[in-house]
Amino acid sequence: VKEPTRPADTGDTATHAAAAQSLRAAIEDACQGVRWYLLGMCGNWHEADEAAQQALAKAWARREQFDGRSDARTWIFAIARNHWLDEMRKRKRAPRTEPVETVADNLSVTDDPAAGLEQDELARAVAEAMASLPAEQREAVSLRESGALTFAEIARTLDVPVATVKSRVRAGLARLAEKLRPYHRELSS
Amino acid sequence: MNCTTCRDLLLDYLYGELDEARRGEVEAHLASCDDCRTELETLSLGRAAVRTQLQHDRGDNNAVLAGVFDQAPPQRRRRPAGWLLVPLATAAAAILAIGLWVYLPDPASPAKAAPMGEVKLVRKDLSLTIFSTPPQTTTAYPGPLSPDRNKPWRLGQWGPGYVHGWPGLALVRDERAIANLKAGTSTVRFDGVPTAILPTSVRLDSDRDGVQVLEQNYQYDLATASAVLERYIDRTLTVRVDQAQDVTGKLLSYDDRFLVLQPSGEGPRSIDRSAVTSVSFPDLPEGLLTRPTLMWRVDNRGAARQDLTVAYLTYGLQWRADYVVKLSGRQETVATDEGHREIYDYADLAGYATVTNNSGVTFEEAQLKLMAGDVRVILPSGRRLSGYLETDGAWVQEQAQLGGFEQKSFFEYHLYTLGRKTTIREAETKQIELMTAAGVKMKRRYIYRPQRSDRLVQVVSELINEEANQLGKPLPKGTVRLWARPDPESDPLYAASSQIDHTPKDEKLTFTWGHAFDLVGEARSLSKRKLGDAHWRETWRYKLRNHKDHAVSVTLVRDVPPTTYDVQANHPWRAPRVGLIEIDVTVQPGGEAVVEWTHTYNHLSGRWVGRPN
Repeated sequence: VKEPTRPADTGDTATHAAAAQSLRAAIEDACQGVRWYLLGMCGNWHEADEAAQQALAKAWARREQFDGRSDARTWIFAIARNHWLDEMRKRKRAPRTEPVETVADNLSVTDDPAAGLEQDELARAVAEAMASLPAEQREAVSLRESGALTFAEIARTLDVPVATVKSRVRAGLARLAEKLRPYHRELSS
Repeated sequence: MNCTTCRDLLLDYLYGELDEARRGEVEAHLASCDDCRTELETLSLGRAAVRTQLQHDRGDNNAVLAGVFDQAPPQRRRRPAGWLLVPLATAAAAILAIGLWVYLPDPASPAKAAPMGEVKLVRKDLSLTIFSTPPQTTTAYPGPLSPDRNKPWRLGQWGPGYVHGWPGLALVRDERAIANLKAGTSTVRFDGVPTAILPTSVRLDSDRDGVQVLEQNYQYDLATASAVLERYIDRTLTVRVDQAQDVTGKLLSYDDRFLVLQPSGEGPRSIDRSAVTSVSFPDLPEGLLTRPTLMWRVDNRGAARQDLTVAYLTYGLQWRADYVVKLSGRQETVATDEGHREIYDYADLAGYATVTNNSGVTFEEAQLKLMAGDVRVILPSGRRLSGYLETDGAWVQEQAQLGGFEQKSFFEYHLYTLGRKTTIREAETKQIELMTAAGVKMKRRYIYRPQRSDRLVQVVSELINEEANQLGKPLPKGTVRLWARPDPESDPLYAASSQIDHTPKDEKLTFTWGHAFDLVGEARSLSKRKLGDAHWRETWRYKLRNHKDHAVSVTLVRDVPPTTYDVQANHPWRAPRVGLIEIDVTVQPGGEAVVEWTHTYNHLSGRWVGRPN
């Protein structure tokens, strides 16, 4: 069993506990954002929740490494991003069953079947449009829409200039708008 | 502002990252420029699309967070069928990471159920004693044995994972019968044990003479990819590379990245594991198991038919008590000699035991016993593998020998035995009725503690746990939920909850519910003077206002320095213990009561209030 490093042996236990406590609060705060970010990346909330849980658990397990110099939020998002990239790499390598119907899980629950059908069609179109974005644009858009990070924070998370982040978000949004122009009315309602 | 500047700022505008002044400028430009407005509409449309997707989010933050802070493996979340295989648990992750492994049964040898010389047992009886949760401590408990999450399972990597919640602890007595135990030494295989078992706590008893245990093994070397590979060193297997080419050869070595294979008649060949799609093994090597198993080498000098009793401790089983107090609506008011008003409520009380099983196995038809009381548990020193959480060895032996556990209390604890047998499934939460009592009389008290809150008045129910009050049973620690009816005809509504500790019979129970809506307090310090060397005198004024339609008696409770030697008050007061003053005040409907008191104390010694002579 790998021995976890324990700064408590040398350092101040109270400060250590307080740091862990504040990181825990940061993880709880970031949960929604991380889930939305991953939802944007994979288009399915089952998978997003699964990945978010693993990523946040990773962040918590590595709490000793968080030195407090950087912002906890960007640190957590960076871990979530790396986790997602790892996951993608693993999948490429490992044969797996393909998703039968990824959109099926996103189908709406309404009392009105006609409205439900319309919504389902929209959801499917949006999922397809998101999936068609280049990875960099999808990532930038997802991070921004996760509601947790500003452009500057995204730039720090991705380690690219702010202008690059903005141009990716702009290109991504424009591309989505172009693809989803036919659903203009439903989207603006 | 020109169009170039505006477009630069458009995204910040859309996401609300601009300051007031800049926003005004952008809006002014947008009002006059069609191109920029179209651009904004496009971006907004894109944004609306992403938000549509987020609105379909049916996940749950709490469910996700639930598994994050435990060091135990992440919670397995139920997923609908047809879902892509994201690694579910450690083993699955390991398998995915290194390729898909396939066991090809050798047609020449039939599937090996139990190797020769092993005897399987038939279960006769099963009893479970679940311990109650010990008092809160700051120490993390060592949780169930868990493999290192990032590595394949191997014996050397097992160790207790620390958890912050109580993992649950239970004593299992499992009686099994063997029909054909041959004379001499043989191996007895005992499966169906929980993955969360404490191997060092296992005890085997035979009820007849003649059976001697020579050796005991707890095997959890499960048939994971790495464990199988390990056994195939120097043996032949077939690897499929890039979904097309098969390589058959002797496995020389393996690590996380490469398999080294030597095809017959050729030199060794290193194969990158990322290119491997599957590995075919001729058979499942011996000694690997598909679930945790206890194995004994026994020496039998007696009969072929033997009954064995196995007792062990396991994590993962816990129980707690939940109580429901339903106010029946009947109420009594008693005027005391001092002119105060005492209110008594009548209620029905029901207690339930909530049992949770996360031990890894289902206990079929088990005799269920719940133990209430704080059992001492020994925490390990350091992270040595032998240092699991365990109770005194002698204690476990003693309990295992107690036939049936029929008595109601033993040693310093209480035991609740379920009258029938029940099945407790893996990952199940079960509620079983513990006790019921109808027409329990509770005294309702209003308590004003200005040092905790100078405004709020607490509502408390007090009762004596005695037979005269329909109770008189030892009540285990748990949560109490209060249900009350707004009027006699309507359904009861959930009103408040409280906690009780283990309460023996004939002791007082106190349920602290919450705060009274219609009672308001007010506290004010009138003076604090130094009288001389280390002598002080303080004067306080408390006001209590009653907005109910009937008179209410409130008890004012306040801590004073233990060296207080003089108290003057405008109401009769009492000191139930050193350093505590209580005053009963009755407040008329719509009225106000004023309590004024002066207490004098020193920092020396002397005649303390409430101190016996």
